[in-house]
Amino acid sequence: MVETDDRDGRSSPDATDPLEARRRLQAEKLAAVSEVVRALAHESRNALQRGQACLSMLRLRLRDQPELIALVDEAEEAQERLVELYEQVRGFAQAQDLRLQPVALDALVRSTWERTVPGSGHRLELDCENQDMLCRADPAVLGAALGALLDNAVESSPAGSTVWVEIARDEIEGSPAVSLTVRDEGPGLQDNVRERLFELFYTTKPGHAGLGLAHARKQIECHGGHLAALDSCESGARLRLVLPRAT
Amino acid sequence: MASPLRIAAADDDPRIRSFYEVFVPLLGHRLIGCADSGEALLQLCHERWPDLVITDIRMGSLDGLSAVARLNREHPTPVIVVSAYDEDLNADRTEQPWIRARLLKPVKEQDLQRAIEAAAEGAP
Repeated sequence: MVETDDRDGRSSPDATDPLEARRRLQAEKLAAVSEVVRALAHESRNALQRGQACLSMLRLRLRDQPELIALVDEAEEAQERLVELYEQVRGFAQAQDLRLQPVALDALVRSTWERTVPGSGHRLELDCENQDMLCRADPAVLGAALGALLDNAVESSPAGSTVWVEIARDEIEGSPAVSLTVRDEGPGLQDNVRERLFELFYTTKPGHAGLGLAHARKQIECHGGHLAALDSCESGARLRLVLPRAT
Repeated sequence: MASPLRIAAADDDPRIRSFYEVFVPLLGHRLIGCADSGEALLQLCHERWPDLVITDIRMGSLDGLSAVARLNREHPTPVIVVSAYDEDLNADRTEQPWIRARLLKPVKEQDLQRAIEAAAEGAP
């Protein structure tokens, strides 16, 4: 993750701020992971090309043996799946420019809701402790993470139900922060699901790649924040992100 | 299908070169030679002037893009570039009139066929 200074003339972050140090450390770790994944994905394409060349030639030689051609088809499908996986992992690990600025979470929630889940039949209920509460974030990256949380809530709960979003004061390691909790009216999370919810490629929903929440956690951590699933309450799942507050 | 073309190919991987040796003729074209480096590609082209070049990008001391750039200074020749690196395929260096198609590995024979047809038709 690459950071750029704010280009609109706002002040640069304080290098002695522990949250800023935490965010920078996280960004450095992710940049290293990104580089490794990028190299792996590229080098794999050379190996996959060799495999594809062999399969193409094998298919020619076996063209009169349909039972063996079926095996070639299967091997080609496995190759294609590998290419997809590498691309997904590469996209996940891709470095992004963070353009940090004060962001009003309640406004971002409303705009993200309208953009992400139009016509879902769900209702948004937003409870914001203080209208002036700002976090320090890149609105585009944070909006993408927020979109994944809202999308997850909508997909996990019946049409016509309410998605609750609560914004409140919080702390990260003693420094001022803002928390945002998304709660849905779905069946909630079993313990085994909650433990794995943010794993890459883990999903309980057919037809989903299992990238959305994993990516969202990475995006939040790049901001020096964290994202977790809370224990189920009276009903539904509760996911909470915490971000440094803008000062 | 495009009219039969005389094609020169280059890749530093022998298995990929054998892929071209098998499939270029099956796609109705003539493979006039396969090179394992940018230098060998240039030499091949100087000896046999192809209608079309298919080349990998990252190959030894003289990469595929540099080789086809030199070739095109001497004799305009359409090129299909192939790479495992999408940033290489989208680099400014590939924005040349002679580069007619870009293929990201892994490439199948159908991809090759489409690229050859596009190159033959002069499509960007």
